[in-house]
Amino acid sequence: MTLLKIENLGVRFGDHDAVAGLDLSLAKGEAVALVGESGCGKSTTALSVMRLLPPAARLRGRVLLDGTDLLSLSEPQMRRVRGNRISMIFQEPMTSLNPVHSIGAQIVEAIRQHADIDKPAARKRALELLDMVHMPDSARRIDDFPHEFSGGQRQRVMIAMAIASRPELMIADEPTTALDATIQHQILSLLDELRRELGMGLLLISHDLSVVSRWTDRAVIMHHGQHMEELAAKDLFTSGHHPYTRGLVSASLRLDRDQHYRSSRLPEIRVTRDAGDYAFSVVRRPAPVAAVPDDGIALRTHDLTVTYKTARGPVTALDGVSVAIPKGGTLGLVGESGSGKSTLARALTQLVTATSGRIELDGQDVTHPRGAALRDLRRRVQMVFQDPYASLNPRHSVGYILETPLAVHDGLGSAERAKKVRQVLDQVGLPAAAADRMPHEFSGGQRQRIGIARALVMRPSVLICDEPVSALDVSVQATILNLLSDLKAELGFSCLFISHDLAVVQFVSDRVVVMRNARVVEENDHLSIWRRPQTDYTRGLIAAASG
Amino acid sequence: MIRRAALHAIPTMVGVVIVSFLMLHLMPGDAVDALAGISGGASAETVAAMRSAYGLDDPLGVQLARYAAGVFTLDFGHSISYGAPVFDVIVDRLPATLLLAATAFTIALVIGVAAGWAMAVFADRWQDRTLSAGVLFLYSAPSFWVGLMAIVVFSAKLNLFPLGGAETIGADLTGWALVADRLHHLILPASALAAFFVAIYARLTRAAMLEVLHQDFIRTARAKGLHPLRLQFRHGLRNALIPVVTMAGLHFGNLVGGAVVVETVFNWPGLGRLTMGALASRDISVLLGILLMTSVVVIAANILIDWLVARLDPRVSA
Repeated sequence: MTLLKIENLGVRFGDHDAVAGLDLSLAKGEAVALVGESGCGKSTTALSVMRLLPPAARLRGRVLLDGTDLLSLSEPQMRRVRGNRISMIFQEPMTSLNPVHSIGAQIVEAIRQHADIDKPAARKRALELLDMVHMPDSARRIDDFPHEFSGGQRQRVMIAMAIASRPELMIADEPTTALDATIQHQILSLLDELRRELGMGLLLISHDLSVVSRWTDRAVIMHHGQHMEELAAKDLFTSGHHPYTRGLVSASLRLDRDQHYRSSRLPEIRVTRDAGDYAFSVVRRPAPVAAVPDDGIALRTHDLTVTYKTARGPVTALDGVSVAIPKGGTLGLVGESGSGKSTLARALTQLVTATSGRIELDGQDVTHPRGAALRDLRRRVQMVFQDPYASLNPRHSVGYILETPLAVHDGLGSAERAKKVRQVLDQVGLPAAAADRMPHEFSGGQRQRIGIARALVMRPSVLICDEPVSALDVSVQATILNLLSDLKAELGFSCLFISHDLAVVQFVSDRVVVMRNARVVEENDHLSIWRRPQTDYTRGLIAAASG
Repeated sequence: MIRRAALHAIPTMVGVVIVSFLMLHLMPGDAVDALAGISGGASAETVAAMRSAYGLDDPLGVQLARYAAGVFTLDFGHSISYGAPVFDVIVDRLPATLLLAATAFTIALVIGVAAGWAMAVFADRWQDRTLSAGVLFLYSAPSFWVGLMAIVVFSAKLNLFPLGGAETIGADLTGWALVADRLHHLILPASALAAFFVAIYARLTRAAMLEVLHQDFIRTARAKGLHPLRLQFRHGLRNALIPVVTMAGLHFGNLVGGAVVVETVFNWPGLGRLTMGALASRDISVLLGILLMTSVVVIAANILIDWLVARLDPRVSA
């Protein structure tokens, strides 16, 4: 029995087609995934089902809910569908709730919008809903405000609101992308449980192939607003026919595939456009020959402790952390948000000061460097940041961004600086003309190349990468990871690679450290840590990441 | 929170006393000069005797210490030109100014927020453009001119409101008739004073509303199927009020300052006219008293606003 049928949907903004000729159907109680990379039109499709797109969007085609075309309903009629027959949850649980109303009030609002019941009854129902989404201590917390909840808890509140009127269809737009792996698992299994319990259809929008294959029945793959392929979710990794699907699958890292940068490069998808049609090919190249790290240690911490003073007293962000980055190798650092991984990166680059303990660079103590020693450390230890959009000054040209460290540290003349800039741009795979352009003219992946170039222009001996690919699409992620291993083979730096994504860490690391609550939980070489995890915490992370 | 804010106000007040005392003494001439000028001249001996009688020939530091000690006991000195204690002179006129400022503030907030809401909801449509033009007009017109034009149009031509003053002199009204008479006198000056601030709050509300309406939680609220009006008020305006109220508090001081001009135009018997008079007669102790009293009022208003913002925004009180 078909619940939702999308026929030949087209969404146009100005002269740009965000979605073109999309077909999709979803049966009662079925879970269907819309898969694709950013800009492929999957969120636009979801929003057009809810008719939540800005007025500038022009829609064509039909969106049938139980036979009624939603696109032909009047706005008041559509309001009786939203939140009642179809509800939606969004990617950003941190900003999707109104900060000035208690969560109880927001759930009650959702209930009373579509049911004629009084406030006390609605509040009682809100409590039931909070219990259904397994909100701990719901009776006490119902009057708390959104900022008093964690990201995972806020997403539970969003789900409670969404199921308030027992909708026939729930649309979840990247519901777990902003959450840690273990929380992600909890939220997805909650959605699955509710779907079965309430018999609702689920349209899951995601870029994450492992999530899709684990939690949905069917997957529709989109690219540039077009339907590429549709297949059973369990066959996603094995029987995709379309070259784009196959490219996406092979570029996606999965923990159980044991990929490693020393043995293989990640396949990259090449998309070419010929007279409006896209052509896809998958490029596989052999792994670069990287020097095997010797026993030397590039950068090491002994019992490093960092405490922050806050209004509520001191907070220990790092508690006796001892790690070692092998010379010429990569130390992978895994942990969930709040585990202290970014604080470690900041302490190593002297952006925060160690409270106690020691930091050694090439055997020399660099815990509290001053003056020339600090400048020398900054030259030798460089950092690549997570967000390629926010970490480049939008008012400076790429050339200026790249040559500033050269001017600061080396005092080189402008001709020499320009030469070095051209050289480093070439190394990260950007044309020399990029130097004259501004950061906003580049895509996310290109910006991350600029970020890497900025770090490498000083020829550091240690590169610290803090979640360098977590804001990027799967196919872009593959090219950046390949670039990093090529550059490592070419330039021979050592690397600390921080990520919450176990599969990414598995690919790039020679050794791996697992952190939790400001401490190191476990450390081992890159093979043993996945095969023989020693602690329950690591086992839990691996289970969550394996889907 | 209020107690902490009140404690923080003490060093501010001490600073106000010292800075205004020193600044006012930079002004050439003193009350004795002014008195001598009014009475058509005095001998050098008389002037010196008067100075010493009022303590004006003491070193500046001694005068400051004497003044500061007096402030502690609410003794703001003696007004030479009014022949009465400064405290009494000011307290006599303070309520009129407070009434005018508070009314203007309320008018400005209510009309400003309403206009800003309408401009944001109809952003870039004709409603927004019309209101924006009106707001720009109020923003750029000086308040004395707005006051004078209001008098010309509404009092002189249309005869709707009195020309000035705070009540009908000699009418001897009581009860509701008195309240109605006062209100009748209040509306024009309060509106003239509010005009500029209507413009400020309207622009602020428009910007804050537009920002809030692009937030993720508005999309969530729309996905619930809420009516647009509920969306605009409960989710939009409710959030937009936080920056508007914060800024309104900062502007309250300007509003009290603007009262000086409007009171002069409308012959309103408040602190503003007292200031003009005291300035002319170089009555430094009255000027100082006014500065102190108005800063107390402004600080109190800001404490009130902080409290209000904490009520509006649950993230602040944490």
